[in-house]
Amino acid sequence: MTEPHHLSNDLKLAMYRRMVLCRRFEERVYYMFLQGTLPGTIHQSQGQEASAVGVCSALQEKDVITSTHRPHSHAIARGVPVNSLMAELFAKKTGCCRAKGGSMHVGDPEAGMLPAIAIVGGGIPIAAGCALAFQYLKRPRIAACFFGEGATNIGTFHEGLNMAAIWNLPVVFVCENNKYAASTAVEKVMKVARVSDRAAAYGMPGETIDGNDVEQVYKTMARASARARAGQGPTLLELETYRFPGHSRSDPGHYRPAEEVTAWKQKDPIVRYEVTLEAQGLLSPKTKAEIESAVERQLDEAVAFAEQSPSPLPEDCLTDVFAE
Amino acid sequence: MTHSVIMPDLGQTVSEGKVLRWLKKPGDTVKKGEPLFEVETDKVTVEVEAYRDGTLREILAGEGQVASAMTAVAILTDDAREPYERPAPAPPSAVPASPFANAPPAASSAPREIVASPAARSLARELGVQLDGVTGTGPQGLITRRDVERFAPARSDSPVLSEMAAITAKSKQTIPHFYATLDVDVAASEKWRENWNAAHPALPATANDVFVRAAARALRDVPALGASAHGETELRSTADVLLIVAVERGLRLVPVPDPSQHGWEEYLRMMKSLLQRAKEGRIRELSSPSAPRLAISNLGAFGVKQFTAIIPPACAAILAIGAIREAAVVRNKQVAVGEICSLTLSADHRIVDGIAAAKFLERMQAHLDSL
Repeated sequence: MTEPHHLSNDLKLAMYRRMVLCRRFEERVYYMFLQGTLPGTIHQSQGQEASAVGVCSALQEKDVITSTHRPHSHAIARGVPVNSLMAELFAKKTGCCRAKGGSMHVGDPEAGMLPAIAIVGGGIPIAAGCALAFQYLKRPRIAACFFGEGATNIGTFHEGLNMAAIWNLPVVFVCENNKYAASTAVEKVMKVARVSDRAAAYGMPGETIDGNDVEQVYKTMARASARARAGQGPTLLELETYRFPGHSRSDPGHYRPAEEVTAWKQKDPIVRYEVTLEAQGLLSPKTKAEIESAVERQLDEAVAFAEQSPSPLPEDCLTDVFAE
Repeated sequence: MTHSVIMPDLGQTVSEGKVLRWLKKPGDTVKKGEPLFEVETDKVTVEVEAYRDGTLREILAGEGQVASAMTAVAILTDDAREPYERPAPAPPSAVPASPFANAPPAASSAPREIVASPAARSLARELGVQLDGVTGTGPQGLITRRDVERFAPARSDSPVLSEMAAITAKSKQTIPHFYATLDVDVAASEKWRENWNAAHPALPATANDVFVRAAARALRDVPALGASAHGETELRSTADVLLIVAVERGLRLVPVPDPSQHGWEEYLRMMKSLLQRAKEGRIRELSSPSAPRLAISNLGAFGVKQFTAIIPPACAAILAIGAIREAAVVRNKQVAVGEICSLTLSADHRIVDGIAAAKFLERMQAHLDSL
C-alpha cells in the first residue's frame, strides 16, 4: 500500500502531466466542436482535473471506476488510451466503445473504467454491484464511483450507499461537488451543508476536502481505498471543485455570478499545482514547456488517428452487443 | 489558409441560430478563444469563440440573420491579405439540417395530426393562431415557435414589441381590472436612500429599488394579492415580483426572486444584475406556473405623475409607480412641502377585492416609513 504522506517526485510530476493532458484534451475537443469537425454533444470538465487525477492515481491496476455524463477527464486519468478516446468522440470503429458510446459513454474495461453512465446517479448501484462481485469472488479489487452533487438527491444514491455500507463493500463513493446540477445551485436542492454529512445516515465515514488540490485528493483517496481494500467498507468523499465551462456545449452558464467564476478560476487546480511543484524545485519552465509540447503532440496524433480511422458499417450494429 | 466560422449546433432541439451581434468586424485580428459573435436560439443566448487565430475577412450572416447549424457565418484567414474563396451558399434556413428532414410526409387523406412544440403551442395560444394552418419545419414536420412567428399575421419585426401586443391585448380582454390609487409620502424613504447612497457609493439604491422591496414586503402582508387567477386559491409563500423593464425596442418582463428575503446589499446587487441581463436580452421566461403574481411598472423616471397599468397574464395585480414630486402636504394642521408619489394598483377583481388592494397600498406606506 502506498504511504499516503510521502508522494514520490515521479508521482507528483505524473499527476501534473495527467492533469495537463485532461485540460488540453477538453480544450481541443471544444475548439473542434466550434470548428464543426466533431459531432455530438459534449459535457466538459475543465477545472475538475485534480479530482479525476488524484482519485485515479490512488487506484491499483485491477480496480474499476464508474463515471458520469462528464467523463473525459476520468477516462484520461484512469489511463484509457487517448487515441481510442478521441476516436470514440469521432464515432469511429477504433473508438474505445467501437463508436457505440460517444462522449457520454466512454470507457474501457481493459483500462479499469466501465463505459460511463450518463444517467445521473446511475453509476452508484453499478459501482456497488462491482464491489459486491469483488467481495464475493474474494478479489483484492475496489470500485471508485464518480458522481456529482446533483446525484446525491437521486434515489439510487440512498440505495447504493446503504447496501454498500451494510455489506462492507470495497467501494469509494467520490462526489465531485461542482456546485451546480446543470443550472441548479446546490443550496437550492440540499438542506444539509455538506454532501459528506449524508455519510452518517449510512454508517460510513464521510469527508469533505478541497477537490482542486490534487495531492490532498490523492492522499484522502489512498486512505479510503486502503480502508475498502482491508474489508472495512465504503467511504463517501466530497471533493469541492468547479467546472469552468457551462453544463454542456449550449450552456453559457449565465446562472453563475461572474465573481464566483473568477474566484474559482483563481483556484485552478493545474495552476496551483504548478506553483507548488515550482516551489519544490520539481517543475522548471523547461520541463513545463516539454510537458506542454508532448501533450500537444499526443493530441495531434489522437486527432489524426481518429480522423483516419474507419467509420463503422451498418453490420457492425450487431457486434460487441451480445455476450458470447 | 481560409477557414469557415460556423454556426455551432447548439442543442438537440434547435438546428439554427440567430446572429445577435458581431463582436469583431472584417479586418480585425482574432485570437483563438476570443468571443466572435453572439447567437440566440429559442433556448439561450451564447457567445461563440474563435477556434483558431486569424483575421476576420468577411461576415456572411449579419446581425439579425438566422443561419442553419454547421453552415458558415464568416470567413477567417491565416494571413490578413491572402485571397480567399467563399464557401458554397448556405441552404435557406427554413430547411432544417435535421436527420428527419427527408422523412415522408404523413398520409394526406386522414385529418392531419398537429405536432407542435410546447413553446409553439403556447405562442399560438397567445397570438390566437390556429396551428392547423401552420407548416412545420422541425423534425418530422414539428411546428416550432419560429414557424408560428413566421405565420402570425401583422406582427411587427420586433419580437419584443409583438409579444407586448399579444400580451396586453389578451390581458385587457380577459381580466376584469379595477384600480386604486394612493399618494404615499416618501420623505422618510428618500431620506433613508440619501443616507444609504452616501454610505454605499458603489452600490446606490434607486427610488425604484426602494419601491420594489417595499412592494414585496407589502405583498407578504396581503397574501390575497399573490393568489392565482385560475380558480385555484393557493396562496404563495414567497413574494416574488415581476418587474416591467423598458428595453431598446419594447418591454421585458423580469421575474425578481422575493426581494423581501434579502439584505439590502444582496438585493441591490441582484437588481443590478437582473436589469443588466434584461437589457442584454438574457431573460426569456415570460410565464410559468411559478411566475410571480404581482407586477411592477415605473414611469417615474419620465416624470409621469400617475398612470394605470395593464395586468400581465398570470398576475393578480400590477403596481404603477409615478414620479416622486414635491407637493403641499398638511401635517399637524400646517401646510408644508412634502415628497409625494402616486401609486396605482390595477388588480384582477376575480381574485382581489377593494379591501385587499387598499390594504396593500397602506402597507406600502408603512414599509416606506420603516426602512
